[in-house]
Amino acid sequence: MTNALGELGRFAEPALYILVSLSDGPKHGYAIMTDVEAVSGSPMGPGTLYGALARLERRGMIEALEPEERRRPYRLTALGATTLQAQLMQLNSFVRTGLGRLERNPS
Amino acid sequence: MTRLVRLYPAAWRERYEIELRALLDERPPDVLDRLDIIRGAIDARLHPQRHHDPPEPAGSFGGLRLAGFVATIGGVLWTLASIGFYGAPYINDLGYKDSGSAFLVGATAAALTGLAAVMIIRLMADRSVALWGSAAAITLGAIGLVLPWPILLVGFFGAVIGTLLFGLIGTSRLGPAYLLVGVGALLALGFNTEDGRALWLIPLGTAWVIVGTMMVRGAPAVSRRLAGQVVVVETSPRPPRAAD
Repeated sequence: MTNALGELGRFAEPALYILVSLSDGPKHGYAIMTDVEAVSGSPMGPGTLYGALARLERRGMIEALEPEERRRPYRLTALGATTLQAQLMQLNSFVRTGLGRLERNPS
Repeated sequence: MTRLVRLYPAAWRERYEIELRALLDERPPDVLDRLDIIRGAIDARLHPQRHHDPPEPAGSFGGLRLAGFVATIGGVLWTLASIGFYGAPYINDLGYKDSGSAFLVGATAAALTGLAAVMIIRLMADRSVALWGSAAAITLGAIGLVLPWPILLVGFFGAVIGTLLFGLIGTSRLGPAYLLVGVGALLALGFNTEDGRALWLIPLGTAWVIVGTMMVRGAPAVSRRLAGQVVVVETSPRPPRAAD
């Protein structure tokens, strides 16, 4: 499970941002882009966004809802939520380890 | 903008084009966005995310598709090289045709087809000396083709015999399509720049184009045929879709 995003290669990080963005409710492409930019501080290009969306959808981590005019919202699935939680816990452990070492050995 | 979106394959556009266009209408793309779309289109062609297929094993479909592209370009160059050899002028009755440029194109063709062979063999995860030897012969032959006589002839026969071997082994392991490459290489052994038999190289080029196109267009099916030979670690089974 923890490697579920790792197998996405260069799309792993964008996919994680997308999962985080969808964790507070369904969003369409443009809303995901602006939310990711606000959260991460760096923009996500349209090609990267849809490359990651396609991979997440295919793996059942997100699902498309009925289109609203030309825009199609996506929402997190149960698998996506579980995967996101596992990834964030792993990152949390990593951050704690790094900060702990810095505190013990300040340069 | 339309031209950029059309870079994506038809199946992808059928699924995502409308919403991508809506997004681009809301946020007109800058130069970096346009480059990102081009990169995304290339990725979509190399790694199609088809929903009716099982999840793509990392490094198989995309790798096979890429190998197909390389093989196709190599095949086209083999064909161009043969036309170049055929049309090149004689320097004199005793010497070879003045076909330096054609040898350069042929060397590029050999290098590309050798690269395609290496990629296919890696996907097969086959460690046999014969297969790797054939790929090495094709690739090293490319170097010989741009060196002076008589090394160029050694390089040419190295590339062609390597291709013949690759075609024969590929036929036994992967299917009859690779027999075309072997037959094309067999005919190419009759190559001669002095009496018009240069056109015998055309079947070799055509065979690589056919095999390459087959790999590009039918990569998932071919990948499944490679199942058991491709070294792929599938980390998670196809997940069930959430309740509709």
